[in-house]
Amino acid sequence: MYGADRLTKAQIRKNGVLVEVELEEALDLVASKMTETIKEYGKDSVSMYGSGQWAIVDGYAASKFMKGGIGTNNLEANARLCMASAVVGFLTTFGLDEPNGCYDDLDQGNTFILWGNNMAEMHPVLYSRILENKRKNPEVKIIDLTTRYTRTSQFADKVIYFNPQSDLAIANGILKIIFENNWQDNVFIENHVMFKEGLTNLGYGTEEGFKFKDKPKTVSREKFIEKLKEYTPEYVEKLSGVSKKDLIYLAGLYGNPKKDIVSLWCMGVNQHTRGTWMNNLIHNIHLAVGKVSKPGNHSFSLTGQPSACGTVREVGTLTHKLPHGVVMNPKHRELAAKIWNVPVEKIDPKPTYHTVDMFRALDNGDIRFMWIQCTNPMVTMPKLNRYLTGAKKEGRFVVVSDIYPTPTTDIADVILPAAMWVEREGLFGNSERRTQQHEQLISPPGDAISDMDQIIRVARKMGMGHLFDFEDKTMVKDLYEEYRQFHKGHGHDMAPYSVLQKEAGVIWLYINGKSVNWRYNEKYDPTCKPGSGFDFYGNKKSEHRAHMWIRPYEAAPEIPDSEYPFWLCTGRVIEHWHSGSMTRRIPDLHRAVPHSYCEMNPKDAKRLGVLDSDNVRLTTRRGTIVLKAYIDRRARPIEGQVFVPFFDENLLINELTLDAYCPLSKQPDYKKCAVKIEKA
Amino acid sequence: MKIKTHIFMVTLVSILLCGLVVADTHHSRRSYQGAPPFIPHTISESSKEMNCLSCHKYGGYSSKYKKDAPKTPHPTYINCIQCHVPKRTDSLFRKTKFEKWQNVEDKPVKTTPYAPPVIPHVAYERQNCASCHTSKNAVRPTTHPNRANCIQCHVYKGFKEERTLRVKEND
Repeated sequence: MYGADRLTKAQIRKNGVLVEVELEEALDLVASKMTETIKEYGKDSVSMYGSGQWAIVDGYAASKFMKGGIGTNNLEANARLCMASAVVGFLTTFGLDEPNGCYDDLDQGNTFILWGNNMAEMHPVLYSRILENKRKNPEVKIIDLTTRYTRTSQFADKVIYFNPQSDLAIANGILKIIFENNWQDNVFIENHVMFKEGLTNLGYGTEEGFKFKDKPKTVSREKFIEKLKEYTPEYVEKLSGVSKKDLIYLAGLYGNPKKDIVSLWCMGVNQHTRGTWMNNLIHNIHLAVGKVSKPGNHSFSLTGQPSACGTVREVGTLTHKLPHGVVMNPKHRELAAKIWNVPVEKIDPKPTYHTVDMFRALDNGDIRFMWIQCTNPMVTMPKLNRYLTGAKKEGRFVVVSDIYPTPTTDIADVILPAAMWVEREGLFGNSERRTQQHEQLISPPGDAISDMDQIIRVARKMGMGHLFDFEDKTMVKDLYEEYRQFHKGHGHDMAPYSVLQKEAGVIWLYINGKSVNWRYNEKYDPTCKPGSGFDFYGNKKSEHRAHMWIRPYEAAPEIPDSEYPFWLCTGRVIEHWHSGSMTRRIPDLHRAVPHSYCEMNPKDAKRLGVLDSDNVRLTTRRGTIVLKAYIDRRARPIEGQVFVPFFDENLLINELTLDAYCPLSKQPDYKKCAVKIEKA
Repeated sequence: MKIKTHIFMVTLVSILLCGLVVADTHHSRRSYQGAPPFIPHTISESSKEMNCLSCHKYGGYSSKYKKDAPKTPHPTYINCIQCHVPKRTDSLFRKTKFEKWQNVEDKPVKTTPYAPPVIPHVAYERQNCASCHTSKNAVRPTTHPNRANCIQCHVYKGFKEERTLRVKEND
């Protein structure tokens, strides 16, 4: 908030140089440029790229403006890079997005299995809750399944290392052991589960114009078990490096009826070229032993951003989504048209570009105009060189709304100064389905206004004022109340604004003035059919049963070889938030971690003759960078893997990463590509 | 007699100076009132060896740093570096306009000369008064450490949220 270079005035690029202008002039230019581009190249040549840090109303205004006003599905958000696999995982397994339980599970569970999740740094407050639970209850065990010894591992009771990508084999191995030993919950499976199979050999989306559509089919329980046969402990050990003993130990924990198990994961599972599969597999294990939707039993995907759930997933600021349902479904389009009061034909039934494709289209010239709000893609996109060059090409117009200058504002044609969360009224929604409202506390500096206000003012200039026909003073409340109608009666009822103003956040499914903390469980969720016990009402077409998917192991797209012999994994550090545009401006945090580095295993370092703080050159097929080697500092990666944080805009590790993605969720894999390390 | 006065004065001055120095570092290590102080010494970053609590759980003399280690008021939180960070550079990434919000008075605040001084700072995560106010490092060591229930006489200066917080905790 206090960075001296805070953006307080709008800027327009004139003759190649950004000059400060009045906000009105900049908004006029955005509106006229958008209108012009639509006229010249069609409605699908303009796009908007938002954020999981958008307030709910920002995302809702963007969705209404793009899908209901302009009539294009060119709307994406950075949550595609962060939570898409979790979304598709929940949708394919339970039929509805987002976790079934809530944070109470962290206090009530007694066994926590972390799938590639460094909670101590990435979800420190939630991890403290587990540690507090463990302090009070010595029975609590934390098992850290990881490719890197982290601060999380330090507090774990057991650390199990595995090779990148082999988590698929481990999960299948666990399932096999469970069924072999008859540890499964037969009654639960009989009544509440259906087995499914999808396509395999999906590809990785690295080639231009890659398309994929799954063809799911229902299969028998026998076939499901048959497909697990391959994953003998020996085979799993060969792929993953996890010993037979450890695998049986893990399966034993899941299979033990006395254990209340919470599986937790975040980017390790989601940023994965088979991310959706991995999500399905963890749900599979929980379903097999009936440990879902009960206090302390939860397959819990943690969210990366404050409002990835609230804004992107629930409002649906993604190309295929509407606030309720998807653009492909005529009924969902009708509902949206009715609430938005626009002709139903206005809403395009065809999804267009997901995030990686959207930036590829900007490079190709299919997209000519892009409005980026509240995110910093020129630091965070994988295979960055391509998209950086693409965005700078002739005939591309990029508008960026942000609070500080970033590498993304560097490529902008227009910069709009934005208000931060404390400088405006807003709402956000977290991992446990909790929606929270906040008031404006201070005035934004200079000409800065909220992202929502920017969208509305441009919409009004483009003759779409009817979409936002509310008093400016009550806009947030009115938009939220309108948005709430989308979810009414669809297993997603939300609390009214007046309740949110009073409470410290309210978990949705909010029915009869009460939150449903555990969905699908008749005991807590009045939506369930009486007498059903559990009712997975999201899967209406599957007799309200949850799906267990056959999801095999498939190799990563780029595997270390003799030329590029290491795995490159990227991620965050506790001090810095994502691309660091805010946290690096906080003196204490910058002073704690002033620059990026390359973490190495001491054995690898010794082999290469690299000492701590030596410079090393990292090279992949896409780029090269020199970083300081850190050996046994914050964390220790397994042999054959290096770790580099991505917050440093001066040392862009994403110029090296691969833009391969999960064909189901379209989420790129930032955790695995092949890299060469040399002493520099 | 003269010498005695002299010694007395020197001792008094040094105690006062020490107090000031302690008070100064005490405040300067926090980026604002209520913020966690940064870690002023080097730490072995390797998470395998990190164990802040081996010194800071009970406090006391550290032969490594030749100083008294302050005792943490919240020893049940074991992931210390979640909030406390070390300092590796004095540089800034970009200039900042942040001004420290300093609301701790240098002198004790008392309503009447004999009234117990009010608690002048935010007590969030610092509810265990004894951990700071009985140690040698204390800015203001208590004269009566045997009375354990400090907030029976000392009240908060008027942080509204603070009180709400405590009421909630006592529920």
